[in-house]
Amino acid sequence: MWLHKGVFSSVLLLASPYAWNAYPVFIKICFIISVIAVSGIVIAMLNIYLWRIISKRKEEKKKHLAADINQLLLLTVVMEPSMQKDSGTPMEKFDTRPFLKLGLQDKDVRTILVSELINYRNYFSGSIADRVRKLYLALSLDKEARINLYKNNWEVKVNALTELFKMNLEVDHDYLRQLMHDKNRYIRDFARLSLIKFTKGDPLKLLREITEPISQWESFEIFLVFQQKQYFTLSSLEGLISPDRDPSLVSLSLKLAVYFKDLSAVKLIIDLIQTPDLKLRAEAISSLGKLGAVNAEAYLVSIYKEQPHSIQLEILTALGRIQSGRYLDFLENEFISSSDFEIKKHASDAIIKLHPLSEETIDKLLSNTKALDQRILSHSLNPLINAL
Amino acid sequence: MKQFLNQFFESYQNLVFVYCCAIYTIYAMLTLFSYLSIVANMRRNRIREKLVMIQSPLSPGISIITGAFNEELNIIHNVRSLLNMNYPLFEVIIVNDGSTDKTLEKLIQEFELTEVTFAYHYFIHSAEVQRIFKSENPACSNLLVIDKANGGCKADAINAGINASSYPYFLNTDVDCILDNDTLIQLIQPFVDDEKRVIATGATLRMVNSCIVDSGVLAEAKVPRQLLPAFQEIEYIRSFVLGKMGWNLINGIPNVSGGLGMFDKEIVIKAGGYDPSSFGEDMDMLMRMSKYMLDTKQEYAIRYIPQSLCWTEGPSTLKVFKRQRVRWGRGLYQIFSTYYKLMFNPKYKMLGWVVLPYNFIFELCAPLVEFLGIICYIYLIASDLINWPFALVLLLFVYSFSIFITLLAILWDQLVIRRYRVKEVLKLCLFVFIEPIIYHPMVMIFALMGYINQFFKAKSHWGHMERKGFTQASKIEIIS
Repeated sequence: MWLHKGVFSSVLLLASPYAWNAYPVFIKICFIISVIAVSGIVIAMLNIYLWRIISKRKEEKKKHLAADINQLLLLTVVMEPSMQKDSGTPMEKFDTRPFLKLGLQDKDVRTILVSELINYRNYFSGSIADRVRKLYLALSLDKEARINLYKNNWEVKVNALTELFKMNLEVDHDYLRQLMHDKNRYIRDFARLSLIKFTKGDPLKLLREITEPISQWESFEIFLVFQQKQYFTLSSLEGLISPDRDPSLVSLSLKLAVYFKDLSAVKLIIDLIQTPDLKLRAEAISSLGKLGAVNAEAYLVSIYKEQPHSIQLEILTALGRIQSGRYLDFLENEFISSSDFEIKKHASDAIIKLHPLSEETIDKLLSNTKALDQRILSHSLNPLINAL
Repeated sequence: MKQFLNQFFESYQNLVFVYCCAIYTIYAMLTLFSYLSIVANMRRNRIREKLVMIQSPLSPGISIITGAFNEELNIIHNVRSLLNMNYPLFEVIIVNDGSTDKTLEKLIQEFELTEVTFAYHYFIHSAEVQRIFKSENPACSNLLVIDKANGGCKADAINAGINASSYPYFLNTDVDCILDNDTLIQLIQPFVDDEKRVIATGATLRMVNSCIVDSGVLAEAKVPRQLLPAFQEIEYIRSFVLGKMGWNLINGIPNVSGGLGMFDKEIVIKAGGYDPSSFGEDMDMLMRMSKYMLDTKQEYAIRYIPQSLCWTEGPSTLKVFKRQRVRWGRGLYQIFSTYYKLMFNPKYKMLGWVVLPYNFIFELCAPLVEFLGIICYIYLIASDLINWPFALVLLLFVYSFSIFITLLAILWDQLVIRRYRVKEVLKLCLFVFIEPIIYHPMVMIFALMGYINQFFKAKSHWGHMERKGFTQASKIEIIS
């Protein structure tokens, strides 16, 4: 009863404008915040509702539009060229009227069309990818992208760079060089990527110009560009595989050396092993293994004892990968004499990798060892475990 | 005595007011921070194309590790769904943690498992590993099943999985969780794209309770029909989208959920792995990882992404919910009794000056402050000392502000994910209005019970989450 009376009287009191002046400041602040919060609740609810309704309509519109565009693209770029011929349209020319009818001046339409074209280029190669590019040019879609390259908004600039990059269209190299020093990291990333892709000469020259660390993501993208790049010769990696460079760039250069089987880089990699950066040292040793650098084996074995544990493991793995079999005894000795589980495991894996050269050693070890050693050998020998 | 009590409660009122204002100021800041964080994430996602990770031969390998204890109902479909993740290089490690049902038998039969001689090494502690299986089916060559003695907790099972894992990163999840197909791509991105060394990442978790699941894949997202899971859904959105994303902006995330988190294996092992004796093993792990990084003077970051990638079954009965929250309460208390020395220690930078003090004052102490506040309120009413108009204004202030903040969290969430239909979202918004009245007091009481249990070192066990199970033959709605 008293609670009810209290609440009732206070509602009356709160409603009275005369009481407001008598309230302490903190109550006034709380009251004002409450009013703001209540208004916020109404606005937030309306926003959630309206946002969802609007985005639902937009999504539906986009879905229909994407389906129409997809249909047009299938007919225009994927359909058999012979069918195109029958229709009387020359193979290298496109009937752009159906696309223009979509209303390319509408930002949404352009965005969806470009995104579909990029998808087609991602998923098709050869003549279809080439026709997609030609259609993009025939529709003059590149014009807006080229204008956007000079806009102030960094996101617009990055989108333009990406779009042209995906469509395999060059951008003024001087401007790209300028963008390589932009304060936005994404602009710098894409400017570098475009330059590496479109530079006619030695793409490694551009890697040499990079002075800042690059993220792993960027190194993935650069690596993909190198993988897909045609008609180029990889120059010497000298100056790139060097302890003086940023480790992220050296790491990328090592991966490129391995991918392009650049045996001329072996000496540079051996020199890199002296770096105090353990992660980089491990990567260098791993690269020697992947390159099958037989001439590095003796050096690796000679430094083995003085190296930290993680580097010793890398050396053992590298000896297995090189597959010369010259240091089979060394591996066997490490496997038997070491008390460290990981050393044993890596030595065992290396011995198995040397098969068939190590067949006799494996048989000997299988019959002479017990318990943990047997278990490790069986582990390394099991194709089910190593199927990954 | 009465005069003393009156004075005490008078002062306490002022303290609570200051406390409340402080926490609301922090919430307002977190709301702003989370918005900025979400916008940055959305921008980055537009720029960074996931195809790069799929195509790149350099993408790092990831081990998905999950413990399974008596999970025969869902295990097959969920493992299948894990094996179908969209990522170029990963393995799935299922740790059968001494199940007493047919979990292991089902796995062996379904995935053509065969026992292998595996050189298992205890890099970090786990209960005894008895057998290890690999699939003879080439389609499941990346599946590894560990059969171990029951360790009594998830931490022990995950440790066993870490010991057997092959890759530098691992995803810690629960076997009953439904994961988005792109979970690995999304969670690995901060590791490879951040300027600092990222040691852990996490994403938003949601309730799967009323969703439609087809063969371990989420077919349609629905807001839980029952009150308890619906409240938990709201709590999760607030905590992940607003809290974690807000802290993400200033690199102050205290915890990556045990339901879904990706970790740098090297740091986890160097920090000693998960602690099986901890009731809050996820927060404890992150504390130790952060401590290790700071002790060794390495810069690091813990990142969260706003995308909902994991759908988990939340407790739908009060009994299970109470058990879960009491355990969480114990875990939080345990964390602070272990790491209190890190607080205000200059060596621990952000962790020592912001993360731990915030969590101590506004997470650990909150239930206590609130409980005493309620006692104070009752006393003042009973003594007829209450100023009703003021009390009502304060109540309106607290209530309206908390509703507003939660609705903003839902709004931010809608910017990222639109898997719910409009009707479902509005239903969720309605639950927001009753959540502070029904759900919040329960959470407070259970947390206090956890503190008391921990203080008196009461015996406790993890308990098993009673699952309703996903009947998978066709699209069947799971109503918990």
